[in-house]
Amino acid sequence: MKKLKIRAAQNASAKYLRLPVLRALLASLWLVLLAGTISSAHASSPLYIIVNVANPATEFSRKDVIGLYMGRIHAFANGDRVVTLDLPRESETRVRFYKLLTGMSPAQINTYWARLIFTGQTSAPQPQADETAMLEGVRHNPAAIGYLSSTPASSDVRVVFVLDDGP
Amino acid sequence: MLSIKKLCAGIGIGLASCGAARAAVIFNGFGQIIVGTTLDNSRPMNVRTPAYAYSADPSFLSESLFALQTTATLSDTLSAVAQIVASGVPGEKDTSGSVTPGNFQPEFSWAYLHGELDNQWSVNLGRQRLPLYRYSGYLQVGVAYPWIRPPSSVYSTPINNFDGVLLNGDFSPGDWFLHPQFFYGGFNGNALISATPVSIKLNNLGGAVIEATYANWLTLRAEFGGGQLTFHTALPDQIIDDCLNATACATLPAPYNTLNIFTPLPAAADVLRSDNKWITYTSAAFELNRYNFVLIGEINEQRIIGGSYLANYRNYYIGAGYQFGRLLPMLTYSRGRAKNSDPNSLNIVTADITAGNPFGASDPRILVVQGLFAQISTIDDYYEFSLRYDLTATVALKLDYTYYASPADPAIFTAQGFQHAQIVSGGVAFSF
Repeated sequence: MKKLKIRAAQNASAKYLRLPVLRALLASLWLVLLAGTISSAHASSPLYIIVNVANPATEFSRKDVIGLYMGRIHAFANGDRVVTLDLPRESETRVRFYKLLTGMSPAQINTYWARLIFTGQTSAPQPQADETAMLEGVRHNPAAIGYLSSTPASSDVRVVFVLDDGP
Repeated sequence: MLSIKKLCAGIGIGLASCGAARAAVIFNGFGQIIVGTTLDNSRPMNVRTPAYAYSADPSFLSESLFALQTTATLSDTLSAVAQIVASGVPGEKDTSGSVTPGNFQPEFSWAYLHGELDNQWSVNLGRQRLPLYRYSGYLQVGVAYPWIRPPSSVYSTPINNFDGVLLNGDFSPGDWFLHPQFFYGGFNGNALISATPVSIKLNNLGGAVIEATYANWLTLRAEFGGGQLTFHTALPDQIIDDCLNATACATLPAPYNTLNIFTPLPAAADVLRSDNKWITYTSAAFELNRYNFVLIGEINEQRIIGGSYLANYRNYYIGAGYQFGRLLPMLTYSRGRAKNSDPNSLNIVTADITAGNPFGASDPRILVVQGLFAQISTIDDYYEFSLRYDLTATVALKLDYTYYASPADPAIFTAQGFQHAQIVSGGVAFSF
């Protein structure tokens, strides 16, 4: 009986001793989760692949977008030749676009395109000044495809794929 | 990438004078500055690529180069592509010790028309890269691969360009992207073999390539090709034409170098002469790039059809690395093996020499011909540790340590003997 009392007392003191540690751990966990939520919110905020509204294509697969942006598919399903629009090399949206689409870093993307360009096989996507220019480019060209970091505020373009997680 | 507008603005020309181009000309470029040296004062003698012509004196000209590619859009489906490459040519020290300074020599590597036939097929017509290897098309584009140079034992063909037609396809069945290529053409010119210009002609050069990519992380490649090779170098020509098919042999001491001492042997000379010999070429390659692991391998085989003193080659490499953020360390092993394509032709020629000659089996020309066959068989091994660091998206720093050895195996070859070297090189590769 005495032993039990001692053990209960020990447990209680251990409980009180551990509480601040637990609190600190819980607080850390929250912070980690919060940070994770914030960073995953950034990582998973989707990118919108857009085409001109005159383009009959309504939905693309991830593979379609990879094929178009990696120079392996040159035309839409209706046979029209594609004009692929891109953002400047230093653009954060561009870095995220290729990372989500292919898992490749900017250097790996450049390596990939160096291979295609310097064998004369195909031309790289056409860089636009910024997302506004990208939207305008797609609005005015039925053969164009582009991507944006927010839902397009224009009825002249159509979202054909939402890119929201990695390969 | 640099548009003609930017170029014109950059060099101070009014846009009106550049108007004709209407931004339809695109300039791309690449280059690298590489410094290298051997560590143990040795210089590999039979190494296959001139890139390895390093000595104990550090040199930055052996592998440094600068290249500019222009793509002029002629119509919606037609463009003209030209590439000028200025390669470093190291200076040379003569026997008196005086040094000829090195420099950069520009040359038109490619010039061809590119046409889109439909949405799947395009065609290149003109002088262009011969698609022999996985990295053929961008052999000199340092930023396009992990090493300072693609593994030398495989990337050893002295000819990299051809004149002809190349058909490119792009298909995307299921989860795969397929890239078939068909080529036909020829080459006629000089190529550097062991730093000596050699006249080489390849007729009826043709082949088929298929490259398949799965989900951006697995690439497989296979190729079969062939052509008719005409190959002339000083010493074999002297042996074949001046010894076998003549009455005297200039390469032998007196009295064999005097007139009317031998019976000419045109049939034996024909066996050895490298005129329009058919060669075949097969290769396979893979690249696996997943979870930051990189695994690359390639093997190829060149075979001579019919009697010849020339060698068949079987070359391969395997490389493994891990991408730590911007840093890619890799270990690569490669072996190049050359072996007489038809040792039996030596027996045929020897029998021809022996029969009906005043010297019989002691005819000294037998030794000369044996020497021609013996010098062909070689083994070259390369053990390589390389580092690539992506400074920016378009600039990579590279370091490389290579241990080269040709194992001495008298059962395989007799003339080369054991040679080895340690080569350290490093530099920067870029594209724009």
